[in-house]
Amino acid sequence: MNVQGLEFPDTLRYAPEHTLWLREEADGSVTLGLTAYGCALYGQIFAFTPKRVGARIERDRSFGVVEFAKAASSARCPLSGTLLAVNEALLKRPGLINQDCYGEGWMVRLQPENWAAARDAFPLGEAAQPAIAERMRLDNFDPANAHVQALQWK
Amino acid sequence: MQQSPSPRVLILVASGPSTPARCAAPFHIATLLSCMDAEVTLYLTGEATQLAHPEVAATLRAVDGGEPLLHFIRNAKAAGARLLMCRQPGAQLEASALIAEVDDISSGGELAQMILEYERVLTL
Repeated sequence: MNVQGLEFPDTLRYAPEHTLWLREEADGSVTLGLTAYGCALYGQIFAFTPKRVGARIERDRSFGVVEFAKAASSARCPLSGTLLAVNEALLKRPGLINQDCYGEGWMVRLQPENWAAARDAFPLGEAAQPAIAERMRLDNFDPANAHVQALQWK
Repeated sequence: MQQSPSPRVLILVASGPSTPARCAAPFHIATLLSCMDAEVTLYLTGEATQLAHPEVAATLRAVDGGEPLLHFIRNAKAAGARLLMCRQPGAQLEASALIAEVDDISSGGELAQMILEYERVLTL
């Protein structure tokens, strides 16, 4: 799926409000990462500092901090759960998020508290297109001027 | 589900225009702490009270060619930090003469109370 020139793999679920993707793993955990839209808003990411493995994260609370040019932002969790793993590679190479946000740039893995109930809040692939497009519209997203927007984005 | 309480962090900002290189750090740290869900209060005291004056906030830079201090203050505020400044005995302070980002002018007694109550107190 392509929205405003940005790729969103059809195999992933999305939390458009949080500009995150989610992938359900075979063991019942969920992997989270920043979408291409999040990357476009932030621009070059200089650091990602996650909370500690084992931390319990409530929905809409921070699971880490993203630092980008001249500013920083919370990475807010779209669902409640316990942090099972963080992508250690990002501690030394945070730019992996920009380079491969759907692969090597994954951020954290979470054990959700009630995935069966929460899952439907995160549309899969194409089904997320309207919500992503609406989020871009509300942000007045301009792909040609994305990084400048990131500095003003809340 | 009940939300766990956010840790409260008080940052005493004591640096001012005489040490510009030290002036941005308290606000950047406040931004990061706020992004980690801490409840952050910045308290300008001593020379740092000058940072609340528009002409200082708009022109003071921690590094040559860098962003002015107001940029860092606004980032901290946008992340959720609260900005207080010390009411200096004998000095007439008009709120309208200060940057809009100042939430309140506070007494030394209120500062002392926060020091006793907050989980963390930093001086930067």
